[in-house]
This record gives sequence, structure tokens and C-alpha cells, in this order.
Amino acid sequence: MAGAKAAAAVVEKEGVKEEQEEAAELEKKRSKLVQDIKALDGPEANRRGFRKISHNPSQKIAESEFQICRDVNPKEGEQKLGMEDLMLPLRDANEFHALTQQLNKLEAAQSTTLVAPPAAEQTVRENREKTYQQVSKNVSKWQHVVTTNREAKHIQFPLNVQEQSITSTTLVKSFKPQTELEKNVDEVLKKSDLANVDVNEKEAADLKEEEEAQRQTYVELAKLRSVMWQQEVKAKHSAKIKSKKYHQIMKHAKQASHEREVAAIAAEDPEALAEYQDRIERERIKERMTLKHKNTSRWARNLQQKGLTKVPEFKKAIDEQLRKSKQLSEKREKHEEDTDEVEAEVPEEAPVEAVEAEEEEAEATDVAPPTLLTAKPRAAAKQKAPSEKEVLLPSFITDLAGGGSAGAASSAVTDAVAAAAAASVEEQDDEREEEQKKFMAEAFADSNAVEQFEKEKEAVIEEETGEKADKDAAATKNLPGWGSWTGEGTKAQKPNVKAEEAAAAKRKEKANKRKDAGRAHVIIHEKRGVNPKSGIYMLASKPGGTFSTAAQYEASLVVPLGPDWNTSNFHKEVIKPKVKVLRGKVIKPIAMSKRTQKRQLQLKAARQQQQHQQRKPVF
Amino acid sequence: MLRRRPAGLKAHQRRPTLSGRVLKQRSGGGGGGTDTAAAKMPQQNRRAPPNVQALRERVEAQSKRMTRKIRLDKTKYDRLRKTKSEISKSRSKRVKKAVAEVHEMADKSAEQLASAELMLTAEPGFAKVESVKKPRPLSQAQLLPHVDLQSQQKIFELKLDKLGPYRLDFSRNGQHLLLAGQKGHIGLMHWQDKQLLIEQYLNETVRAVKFLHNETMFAVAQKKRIYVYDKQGTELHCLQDLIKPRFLDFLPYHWLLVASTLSHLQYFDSSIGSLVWKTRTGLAPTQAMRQNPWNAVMCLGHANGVVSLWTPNTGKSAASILAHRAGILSLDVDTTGTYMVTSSVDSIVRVWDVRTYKQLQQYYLREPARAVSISQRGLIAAGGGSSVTVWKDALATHAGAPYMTHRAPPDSSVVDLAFCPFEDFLGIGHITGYMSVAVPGAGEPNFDSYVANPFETGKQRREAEVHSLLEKLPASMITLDPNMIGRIANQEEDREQVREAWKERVADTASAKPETRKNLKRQARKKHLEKEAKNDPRVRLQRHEDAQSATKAKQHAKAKDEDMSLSEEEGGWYAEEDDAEAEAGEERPRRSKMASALSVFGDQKPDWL
Repeated sequence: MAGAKAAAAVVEKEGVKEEQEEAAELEKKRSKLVQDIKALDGPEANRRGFRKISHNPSQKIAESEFQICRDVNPKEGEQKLGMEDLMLPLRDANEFHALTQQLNKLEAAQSTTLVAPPAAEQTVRENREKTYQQVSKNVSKWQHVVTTNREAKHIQFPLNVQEQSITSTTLVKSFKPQTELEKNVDEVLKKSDLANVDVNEKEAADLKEEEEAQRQTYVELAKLRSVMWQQEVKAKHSAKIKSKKYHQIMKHAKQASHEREVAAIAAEDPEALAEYQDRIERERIKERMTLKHKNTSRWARNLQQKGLTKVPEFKKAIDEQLRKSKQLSEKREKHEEDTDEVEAEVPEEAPVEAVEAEEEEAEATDVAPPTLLTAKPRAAAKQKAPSEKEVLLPSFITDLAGGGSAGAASSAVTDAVAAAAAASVEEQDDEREEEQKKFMAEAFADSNAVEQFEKEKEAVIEEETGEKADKDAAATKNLPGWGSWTGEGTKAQKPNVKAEEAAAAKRKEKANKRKDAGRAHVIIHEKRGVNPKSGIYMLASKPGGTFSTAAQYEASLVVPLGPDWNTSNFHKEVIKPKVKVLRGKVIKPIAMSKRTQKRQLQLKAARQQQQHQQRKPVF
Repeated sequence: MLRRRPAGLKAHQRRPTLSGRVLKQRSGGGGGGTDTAAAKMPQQNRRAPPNVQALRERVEAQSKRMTRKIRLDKTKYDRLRKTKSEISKSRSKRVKKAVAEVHEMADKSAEQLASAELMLTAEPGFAKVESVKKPRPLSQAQLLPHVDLQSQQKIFELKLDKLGPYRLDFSRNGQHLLLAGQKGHIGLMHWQDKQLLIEQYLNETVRAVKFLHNETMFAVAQKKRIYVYDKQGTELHCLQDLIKPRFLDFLPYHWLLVASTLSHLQYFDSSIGSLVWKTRTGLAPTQAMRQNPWNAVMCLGHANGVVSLWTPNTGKSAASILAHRAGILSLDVDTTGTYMVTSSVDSIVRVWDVRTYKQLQQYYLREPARAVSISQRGLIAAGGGSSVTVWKDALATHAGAPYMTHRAPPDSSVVDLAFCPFEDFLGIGHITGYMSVAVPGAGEPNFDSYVANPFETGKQRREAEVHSLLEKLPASMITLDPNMIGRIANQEEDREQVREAWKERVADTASAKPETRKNLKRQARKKHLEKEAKNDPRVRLQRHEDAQSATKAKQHAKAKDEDMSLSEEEGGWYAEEDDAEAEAGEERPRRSKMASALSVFGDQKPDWL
């Protein structure tokens, strides 16, 4: 009873209700214990054959950890011997509290009932499954290795044997001075600290520098280009402005700025101004004397003779010249100080020819279109690109067609320019060629080569499109009196025009599809493209085996593998056998290298990431 | 006072000045007093636009400098260029992978090939005249002082005025020269050191000569038959099939000797000496014949201006081009099989793209070119009358003035031309001899010893011979487009033909009896019996009669033919056949002509130098 109380004291912390319940239970237990004790002496106990246990158990059986003096099979309603009962004697011990807690935990853990052991067969199966999972996990580490080896074009056993290639660096590294001379050289190198210079590093640095320079150049170029483009746009825009007012304002502004500049210079350095004015004056004199821009040149005279002065392009050029002349010969106010001294001092700076040459150049640029970027050299006008027709057909055929090279209105101007340019030698050559062309055309005028060829081509087309067979059939069919009634009262059968037209259209379509269609001077016998003899060198369908599509097969033909078409290195590489076993080497079982493991981890991570991404909802 | 140009300003840079016009700078050195004055002139208005011209020049100069860097030029070896669009269509992952592999391989191969060009030490170059505004054609006399001594020795002339006109052929490695005078004079020489190997007087007309696979054997088109001789001049073989051969050519990869008369074309296998294929052209008389080295297709030039292309597989020509309005005199195809040059009676030389049959260029000559030739590096030579003209860059682009000209002796006329392979020399055969002239830049400087080796030893030659025999291509492989070989036919009709060809092939191999001793004996006996039957006098008589009656019938029919004009013309053409034929072999000179001509050369220069 006291023990029960003590136990109740232990759980003091619980609520009052709990305490009451517990007390009730304890009471129950106590009464049961009393009953048990009473029953020990009762007839029931005897009947069951239980030995009588004395009230003082210690007297009969020695109590030990192996022997608990208590009835193991209590009757219905009887209380089993509990752990707490055994603990009672230890109540006063120091570790009692901790021990009780441990016991409580144990009790809680044991509260679930054990499952009955499964059947042997099932156990075996389960074991097998577990083992399989474990093994496959181990083996899947090799997945990557196996696939790479399987897909590898060439594999060599033993694996991982690197063939040491002899390069300049390996030679340098393995070099040890042996002879006297070598030793001396080595010493000198070491002394001068040259032995440690890494050539590769130096080269790399140089290369980097170079690249940097190149990059900078690129940047600079890009800038320049953008500036050019802006200028061009601006120029185009201002060229389009038609407002008179705008141009007037611009002119005035220009004039004003010019005057301002002149004034500034006059204030700063009168000598320079004097020189400038002197130059202007000399140019004026020269212009008046030579009348260079008065259109007295051979070019201008040629134009006048040929009556080309009204062609807009030339008119513009002539006007420009006149404007220039006016500008040059215009009298300008001179600076007050006389410049006789300067005139005397300045000699003729360049020979006249040079000046003229330069001015001629200026002339040339004067005629050019407004923007310099779009300007093309004059000679370009002469180089006529041959038209499609000219390229396609031989020249005599185009001649026959009556087209000729000249004739187009647009080309008249360029022709005129070419004529005006008067490149006399080339002209002569051209003339000679033209003459010869004419002469030859005359000489072979009666040659019926073209007509005969055309006839032949027609015949070939007829034969190959089946027209000939049709015609033959039609000829026999349409023989008078064949396949129809004749005599008085019969009507002549009308030919089936529609059918004939349809057939003709079909034939025409066929003819247009021919390789030589549109080329009057070529006959290609198409039916002989794949002939019975060379047919065996082609395939009717994709070959089986490793090729899954025709495209794959065709791709395999692109690169020839033979030594005649490749470098020996490449050839050796592409004809390596799939597997090569080195002689006299021990082939060890494959081992997981660190690299492979690393790769494995990477692959795993990648896979997980992929799965993760797949799980993400896609919107 | 003299002015100095301000520092940092170049002569070509013009300075916009007051009026916006150009102010010329003065040149020369001297006092610097007014230098400052010039510098103070308003050089450039700040607001004014930058000088676009100057900018342009700078940009151009910079870009030029950048592109000058040496780069690997892989484009030449880019094998994917043509097929790229074809093979990248598939969506299948596997195919894509395979295709990607091919791309990688092709790229690698091209890169290696391009980088291997480093090994080609010899650089091609042309003669260039400096400081002349309009370049004029070079002559040999002009060229001579600038040519090294060894090459000077190779400019020579052989005067052979009795037995000409001379036709020629160079061996594939350019070491040997075969000369053939029409009146039966034949000489084989190691031309660079002028060593005469054999000289023969055949006492009959010789119309063409051609080296076979190497210089040890050559074929001669004689009056009635083709004969094959060896290096010692021993007659090895006589080809009975073709009568009155006119033109000869040799297809080295197929070992085929191709011969043509005015009307027939035949292919002989020179490795086994048998006839492979023959046909009647059915076209106007053949006047020129040359192979296309790229696809082994024979190009025949005809008297009506047509060039027909032939493969030894079909009954008729594979294609024909109307190249001129007048008869074709000569033609040649370049080594890449891209360009064809034709010359005609109308004094025009035309350049064609043989792949597309388009005319690219045409050149007018003063006289019709009897012979044309394209060098390995794409120079065109045309010779007619007494002049020979050479053009540079004249195939893809139109060349202006000729690169070189040369004249044959005034009383002579050029009949044959050939550039020597791997050498910058042109061989000219004319009526009164042979000339060898230098044409800088004509030959390929870097030879491929797999193809032809100028420094070949005897052992190498034998080895190459065996290799070549083992790698011999069958005649049936010759097609217009060799790229089709191994590919899948893409049109249903073609596919049908391919299937049929395969069926036939399988049937043939199935029916072929194994070469057991018994079978061979049986075959031999059968052949013998056939031959006996053939030679039976009764059978022969019968055959003779049949043939005669057949020809009579034919002639009769022909006379009645509606298309009289054509047949007349043909008759006219063929009637000419023997007119020009020289009476050959009248006398046999006592002393070797060529040897004496060669020995003469040692002492004196040709007139034209």
C-alpha cells in the first residue's frame, strides 16, 4: 500500500483528477493482491498443482535475478507482477528517479505489439529485392563509363595509358646538359637568367597585347564608321532641302564666318592674310589667262561637237566648270598693304604640270555625286556587268536574237561617257574586235549550224518526252480511211482537239522541266544520266545496317577517309580500329577513377536539377 | 622664302581653308619664318564636318592592315559547302548527331589540309612588268635576261623542216616529251636535259601520239592503225579495231586509251589490251578530242561547231553544246573540270563553264587557233598561223591584253600546243619543228607525288604502276557527274534503272561459272570451235557476199535519202579526209634529225631570242 502511495507521490505533478483515478486503481490492485494472497492457501491452488508458497518466500526459494517469487500466470482479474513492484525496494536509492524515467520510456516503446514473423519465402524475396537495389545502385555508377566506352570510336586496352607524345616542351623539360659544351651553355643561360624565361608565357603575353591592340583598333574603326555614317546622313538631309531661304541663310552665314576669320587673321598675322590674298590673286590671273574653266578643254569641245551639252549630266558638269571659273576670276578686295615683297620672295612652288594634274583631279571630283561615300570611280561606268541573257547564251546566239549589246536607252549615257573618256587604245581594240565580229558574222552568215542544232534538239526532246511516239501513233491513226467509215454520206471525223492540246501542254511541261530548258545551245540527254552500266554504282534506297535515314548515309559520304584526300595524321585517326589491345601489357580490371567519380556526381546533380525543373509548373 | 610642310600632315591630306577650297601646301625645306603663319591659317573649322574622305582612307587602310594577317584558308577544302543544305534537314536526334560528327570531321580534315599547306614551299608567281601604264605582252627576248640559267637552257627550238608538222605530248610528270612529225618521224626525249631516247622513222603518216600510263609506253595513231611502242621503240601491240585513227587520249585512272576517227570513237583498255567500247558518233566529222580530267568524259569537237561529251556507257553522247557557228579546231578542259576552251575557224576562242554549259568569255584572234591549251594554273594558250598568244586570268574573268605572245617562223604554222606539267614551259609544234618557250606561272609548283612525280625513280615508277593497276577504275564508272557514285538516286525513274542494273548484275554473277580447270578447258574449246567456224572458207565467202550486198543496199538507200543536203555535206566533209594526207616515208634520212637538231641547239640560239 505504502508502495502504491509512493508511486502516487511520484506522479504528484499530475492533476487532481488523475490522482483520484490512480488512487482508485491502486485500491483495485491492493484488493486483488489481497485476494491473491488468500487464494494461495485455497483449494483452487491445490487443484492446479501449484506448490504452496509460504508467506515468507525467502524461506523457501532464494530470490535472485533469475527467480522471481511470484505467480507467473495470474488468474483473471489478478495483477501481474510489474516492474514498479520490483523497483519498490530501490525507492530510497539516489538514482531511483532517473531509473524510473528510463523504465517509463522502455514501457512506452514496448507498448506496440510485435508482428508475427513472415513466411520464409517472402523473406527471401524481400532480401533479394533489397540486394538488387543495393547492387544496381552500385553498378549504376558505371553507367557513364560504359556508355562513353561503347560510343567511343576507338578504345585501347589497357585503359588510361596515355601515349607520351614528344613535343618541344617535353624535350626541353627532360633535357639535361651532358657534354662540356652543353654544360657551358647551360651555365651561361643560368647566369644570364635566360633559362627560366618561359617562352610560352612570353608568347601568350605578346599575343594578348596584340589582341588588345586589335580590339582597340576595332573600337576606333567602329567610332570612325559611326561618325562617317552620321555625316553621310547629314549631308543627304541637307542635300534634300529645297528651301531657297535656307540656302540663302546658309550662304550668308558662310560668308559672314569667312569674313570674320579673315578679320581675325588680319588682326593676328597680317602676313598670312597677305599671302592668302596673293594666292587668290595669282589664281585669278591664271584663270583669266588660261581660261581653263571656260570649257575650252578637249573634253568640253568633244561634248559640243557631239551635241551632248544638253544631256543633263554633262550640262551639270559644264555649269559647274563655269561657276568655278566665275569664282576664280572674281575680283576681290585686297588688303591695303602691298605684297610686292612677298610676291618677289615666293617662287613657283611646283611645276605647272603638277598643278594642272591636281586641278584635273579636282575637276573629276567636281563631277562626282554629292556624297563621297557613294561616289564611284568613273571607270566603273564602263565596266558593264554582262546581263543574265548574255551569260547564259553564247554571244552569237544573242546576236541572232537581235538584242546586241547596245540599244538599251539607259546604257546610252554610259556608252556616251565611255566615248567621251576617249581611252584611245582600248577603243581601237574594241573597234578591231567589232570589225572582226562583223566580218566573221558575214563570213559565216550562211552557216546553218544554229538551225540544225535547234532541229536536233527538237528531235531529242520529241524522243525523250514521248512526243515522237505519240506523233507516230497519230500518223497511223489519222491515215484517211483507217479507223473510220468512208464513202458517201459519212462525215469526216473531227480530230480530238482538246485531247491533243492537253497532250501538247503535258509535253511542253515536260520539256520545260528538262535540264537544258531555256538554253538553246545545249542538249542534255537526260535518259542517259543513269545508264544501265553505271546504275550499279548508285543505290535505289537507303542501305540498311547502321544508317537510320538516307540523310545519315549521305552524310557519311561527305568526308573521304583515304590518304589521297587527307593529311596522314587525319587519315590515321579516322581509320583506327574500334578496339586496340596493346601487346605485352597487363589489362587490369576497370577501377573507378576520381575523375569518373566527379563526373558521376556532376551528372547526378544535373539530373536532379533537370527533374526539379520538370516539376516546375510551366505557364 | 621657302615653306616647310607642317609636321604630321601628309601630302595627300588636303586642308580645307578659308573659302572651303583646297589650299596647296608648298614642298621643300628652308626657313621656318612663315611656317607659323601657315599653321595659323584656319585649318579646320571646329563646327565643320570632319573630312569624310580622310576618314574613309583611314578606315580602309586600317581594315587592309587587319586583313593582311595570315589566316588559314579552309574554304578551299570545305567539303560541306555543297552538301550542307542536303544533310541538315533531318529532325531525328540520331541523324543530327551523325551529321554533327560529319561536320566536325570535315572541319578537322579541312583545317589539317589547310595547315599542311605550310609544307608547300614553292610559290607560284607570274612575270610582272613594273612602271608601265598599259602592260604589253611579253616576248621571250624580253624575258630571257630575267630568267635563271637553268631555265634559259629550256628555251629552245628544234628545226625539223622535212617531216613536219609536229605534234607533241608530255608525260604526266612533265619529264618526257614525245614528238611526232606527220610524215612518220617519232622521237622520245627527256626534254629538260635534251637527251634523245629514241627516234624512229615509220614510213607512214602519223596523226597523233600519246603517252600511256607512263613514259615507258606510248601509242601512235598511224596511217591505218594504232600502234603501241615501248621506251626502246619496240612495237608492242597493234590495235586492229579502229581504222585511220586521228586523235588519241589516255584516261590514266581507268587505263583507257581513247581513239577517234572522223566518225568513230573507241575505248581500249590498255592494261589488258582489249576493246572496251566503240561507237559511231553520228555527228559531223570530229576535229578535236580532249578529255575532261575531272570526270574522264571525252569532249569531241565537230566540224559543225558542236562539242559533244561522251561516256563509254551510252549509245549516244551524254550532252552536246553548240559552241561555235563554224567548225571547231581545237579544245581543252582544265584540270578541275570547270572550264573548257574551244577555238574555231571563225578566229574566236571561247571559254565555257563545262558544268553549267555557259559561255564565260570570248577572245578574238587575228587568225583561227589551230591549237588551244590550258595550263595547270589556268593560263590559256592559243596558237594559229605563226603566232601563239597566252592569256592570264582569262577563264573566270575577261583578260584584256594577252600576257605573252610568241611567233613561230614566218614560213611555218602552229599545229599543236601543250603546257608542260609542273614546269613553266609551253611546247609548240609547228610545220618546221618544235619550240619550247618559257611562260612564267604556267605550271603547278607543288606537285603531289601520288598523282605525278617529276623526280620519280625507276623503282617509284614501277611501284606507282602497280598501285595504279590495282586501283584501276572500271570504264562503267565514267559519268558526267562522278559525285553521283555511291549516292541514292533521288528520282523514281533513276531508281528504277538502278534496280534493273542491280538485277542484271546479280543475274550475271549467278550465271557465271566458277573458274575451274574443267570450265576453262570447255571455254577454250568453244572459242576454238567458233574461230574455226569463222574461218571456214565457205562461211567466209558467204559472209563476204552478204557484206557486199549489204553495202550496196545501203548506198542505194543513201542515195535515195530525202535529206540530201546533209548527206552531201557529210560526204564533202569525209571526202576531205585524205586530201591533206602527206605522202610519208619517201626517204629515210641517214642521220638522226632530232639528235642533230638538239646538237645544233648547243651552239646557237634560236632566231627569236
